[in-house]
Amino acid sequence: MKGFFFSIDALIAVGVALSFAALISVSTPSLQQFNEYYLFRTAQSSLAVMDADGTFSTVLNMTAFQAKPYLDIQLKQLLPPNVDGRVEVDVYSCSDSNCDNFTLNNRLFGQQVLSTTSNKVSVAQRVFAYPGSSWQNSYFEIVTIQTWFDNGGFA
Amino acid sequence: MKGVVFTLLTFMLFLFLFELVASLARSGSSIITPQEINKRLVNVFSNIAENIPSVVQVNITKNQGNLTISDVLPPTINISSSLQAFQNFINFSTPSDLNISFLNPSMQVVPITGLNPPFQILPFNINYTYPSNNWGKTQQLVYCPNASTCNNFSIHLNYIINQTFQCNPQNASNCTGVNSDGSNEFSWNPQPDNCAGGPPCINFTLSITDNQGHTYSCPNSLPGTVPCPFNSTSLSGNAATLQIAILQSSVCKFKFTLGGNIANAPLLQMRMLDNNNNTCGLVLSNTTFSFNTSSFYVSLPTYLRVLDLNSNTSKTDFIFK
Repeated sequence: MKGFFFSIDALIAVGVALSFAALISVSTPSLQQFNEYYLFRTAQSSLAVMDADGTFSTVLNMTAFQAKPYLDIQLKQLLPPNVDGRVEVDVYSCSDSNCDNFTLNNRLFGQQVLSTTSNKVSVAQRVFAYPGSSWQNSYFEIVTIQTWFDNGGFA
Repeated sequence: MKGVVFTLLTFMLFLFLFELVASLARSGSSIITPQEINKRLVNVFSNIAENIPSVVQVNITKNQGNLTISDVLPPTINISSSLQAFQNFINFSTPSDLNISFLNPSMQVVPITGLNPPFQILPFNINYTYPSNNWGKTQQLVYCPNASTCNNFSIHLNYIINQTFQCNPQNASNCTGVNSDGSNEFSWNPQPDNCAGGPPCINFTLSITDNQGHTYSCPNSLPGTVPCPFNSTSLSGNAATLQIAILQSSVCKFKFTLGGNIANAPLLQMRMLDNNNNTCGLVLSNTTFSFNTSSFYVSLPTYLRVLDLNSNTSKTDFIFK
């Protein structure tokens, strides 16, 4: 009988400990969350710097062939050594004189190779407007920057 | 035997509870939290707000205590059409569960074309604007709420015009003509008083370059050039006024006014007009305000609201930078 109560007591103790540990793991930010935040901030900062230095207006009239090496270098120099990324610039123009509809003119990108599909990818996106003297020469861009750890691992 | 069974059952119960808590923790990442909704709203809000200046052909940059507003007067684009096209693109590129709207200061929904100047520099209440607060941009106007505010910053002005000066200011010997109105090619009337009567005053630098690359600047006392020995002017009495004659045009003038009594008049007024008050040239301007603090921002008097239709939460704020 003593053994029985001893077992129950020990199990309850283990159960309480396990529940407590589970509760802590739920309520505290995990390393994974920290890494996601780090990647997101990296993508956002890269986008802001490339905007400030005129990268996205420079590529506006480039072909995909011309833009790729330029975007490659611009992005790579901003990323920390353990992070890879890809920048994609979709250039749109108005389809009609009221600019009610839009046509995808060009898709430009600078790309590092995503080595494994298991990498966690973070995304930052922004819109840019380049108004022209008429609807025919007004352009808009949707810029997307993806970032991930190059070793598939952690910061 | 009962004890063993009971012990095992209890153990399995705890394992089940543990797995339940752990799976809840794992699935937590797929639930959209209020923070994630807020992050999304802020992202879309700043996406729109940061584009507004370029859509109205203005560029605003801040560098510590310096605020530079780059402008094109008059605009080379139709700004109403440009704003409308931008809103159409925002609607095109924004997910359908987000609603974007612009509100006037009374919080009534207005079309994006109802978004008007002035650019308000806050907390100083300095207004950078144009006549009738519209995007026609026939003149550049800066209003200051009171002399004591204006006394606390300096202003640096760079203008590039698409016309040619009547004479090259870097060769003063050629600039001795007198126009029919009695003014010279580069004529101050009245002149800035260099704060002769003491504060309140506005400190300034000024540079105007024509399409030949000739520059008239203040302060400047270089030998052989048209002099401009001024770097400040009082905020009382008559405003200092500069008039520059344009080549082969008896009616087109570059006019610039600064300082004087600012109670009912702008601190700064720049225009390039003919006798009929029509614009007669294009001016690219860079206006830098140098404050003794970096705690300021620029805002348009229109609210932008981004509403998440799923959660019915929104971010509403002035369009600012």
